Amino acid sequence: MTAQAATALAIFVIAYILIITERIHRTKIAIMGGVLLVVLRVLPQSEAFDFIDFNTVGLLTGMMLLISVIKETGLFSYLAIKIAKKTRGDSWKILLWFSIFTAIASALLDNVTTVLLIAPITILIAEMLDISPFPFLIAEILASNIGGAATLIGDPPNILIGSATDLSFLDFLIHLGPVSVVVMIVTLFALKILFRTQLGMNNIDHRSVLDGMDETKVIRDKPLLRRSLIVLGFTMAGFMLHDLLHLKPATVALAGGGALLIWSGTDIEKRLEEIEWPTLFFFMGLFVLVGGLEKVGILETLAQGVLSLSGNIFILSLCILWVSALASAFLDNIPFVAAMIPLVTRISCSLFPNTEGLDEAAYHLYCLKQSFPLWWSLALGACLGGNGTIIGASANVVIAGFSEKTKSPLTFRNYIRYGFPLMLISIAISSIYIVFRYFLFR
Amino acid sequence: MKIKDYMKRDFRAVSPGAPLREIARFFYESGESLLPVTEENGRLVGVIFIDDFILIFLPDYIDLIWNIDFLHDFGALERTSFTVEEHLFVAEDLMKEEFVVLEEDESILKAAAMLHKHDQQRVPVVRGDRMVGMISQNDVCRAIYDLEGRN
Repeated sequence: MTAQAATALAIFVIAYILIITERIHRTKIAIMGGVLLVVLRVLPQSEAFDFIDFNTVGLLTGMMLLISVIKETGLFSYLAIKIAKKTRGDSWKILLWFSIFTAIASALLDNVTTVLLIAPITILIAEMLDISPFPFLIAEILASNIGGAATLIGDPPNILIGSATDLSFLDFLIHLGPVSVVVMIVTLFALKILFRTQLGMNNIDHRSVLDGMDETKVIRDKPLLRRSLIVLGFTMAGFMLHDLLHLKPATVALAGGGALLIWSGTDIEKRLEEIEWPTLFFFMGLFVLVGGLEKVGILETLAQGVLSLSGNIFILSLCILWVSALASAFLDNIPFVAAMIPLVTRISCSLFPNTEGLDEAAYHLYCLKQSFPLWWSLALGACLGGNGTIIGASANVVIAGFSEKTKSPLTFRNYIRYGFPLMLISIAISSIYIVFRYFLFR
Repeated sequence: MKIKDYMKRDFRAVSPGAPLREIARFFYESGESLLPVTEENGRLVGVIFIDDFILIFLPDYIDLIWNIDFLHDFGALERTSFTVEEHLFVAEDLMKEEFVVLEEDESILKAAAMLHKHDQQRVPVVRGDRMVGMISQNDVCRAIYDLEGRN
């Protein structure tokens, strides 16, 4: 190993350990790690900046802008209250419909924002009905990660994978949508059995309590809501068609965010304050950190190492699925996926060498199509794995924080009893899906 | 113009161990929104804001919900009694230990400026660490024209 390679590896490993231990904020570490790679001459500055994937950064920024306006319209509260009233206070129906709502909103917007808005209302409604919010909050964690797994924009790992591979929004929906729906149905069914005692308790005399709520009062600015919905609709249509229009997802998201900024007449300073800068800078630093490993050839060596164990894409896919799931249950899945992407790219290029002399674009497409199961395994493992523990994903951490304000807080111990087995079931379902769809019936 | 010439010396304060009922009675009877907490020797150890007092009777998650306009009532929570809180908290659990305070020989204009900066209507006045009075925005008005005092 060259001195350069050793430096890059050391910086990456130390940064990774520091990120995992969470003693210092991950963004500070990512920025410093990236800077060190340049200072210690592993990468020249220009190359370091080239490694930053601005499609990912742009997509995140555009969605954050869009969401920051939509959040203010009261749309989420409106729908949540409407749904709660329709359930007539039936515990199981609340769990079912709030989970489905959480899953859909997570798939279309972003799962952390979704739970930030839904979980407090869930706690309120549960306490109004004198039932424990515990099962509902667990269901919402699971639903947010399952929903997020279904689309390109739902969860950061998917954004990273989509951006690196040029897989489109529709590709994600077609390949990950069906399995997410199945996982969701099985999870809801399992929750109904696991929480049958709690959900069986219906305090009939409390049902009228929900009728007193007036959801129309949360919509303060109707024109803003209308404009937001129109822009959101166009943005979603843009995502569906971006491949056809030869536009990258970041362009679509920024177009939506930009259009709503102008049309809503909102204050730009306030909007930019709502951007999650720590997240964006974390991604940028991370791209440079992984870029360092790529540059010095460590990922190439690692890829060859993996291939020497097995050259069978079927076995490799399942390994990636399970390893990603277990890693994501305990670690931050974003740096994990960021490092896995160049690794999987190299593995797929070695598995499917360019023997027919295709030009670069055609070969890229060929290689991508051949290695579909590897990418979908990575996405499913990283997103669904987050359900394994209370620290597995950001949405989990947010809900756990909220639950501390209730009588039955979610803890690492009491969550893992439900989350981990349900995560294993979801990965088992994903394994069956991968095997059937990409190997048996391809 | 010094604070000590215009402050009110007949203030009320509670001890750190005062029960909630006593605090509630003070806020109700005085119409004030800030209650000083002093030890037996007169040392000022904290202040209780009426908002913090009321907050302990509201659900903990209330600030997580952006907008509660839609609520008519809190359902099951409406029927809870507040006896539990009565046993859980005394004055020192509610008081802020970091608070705005003024020295009695500071100027009245400084008092006016501090009241404005911290958006408070009144502030305790001390000599060393002992509380000696209260100065309010109303007292500042009196000082400006040197109106005849009640104390």
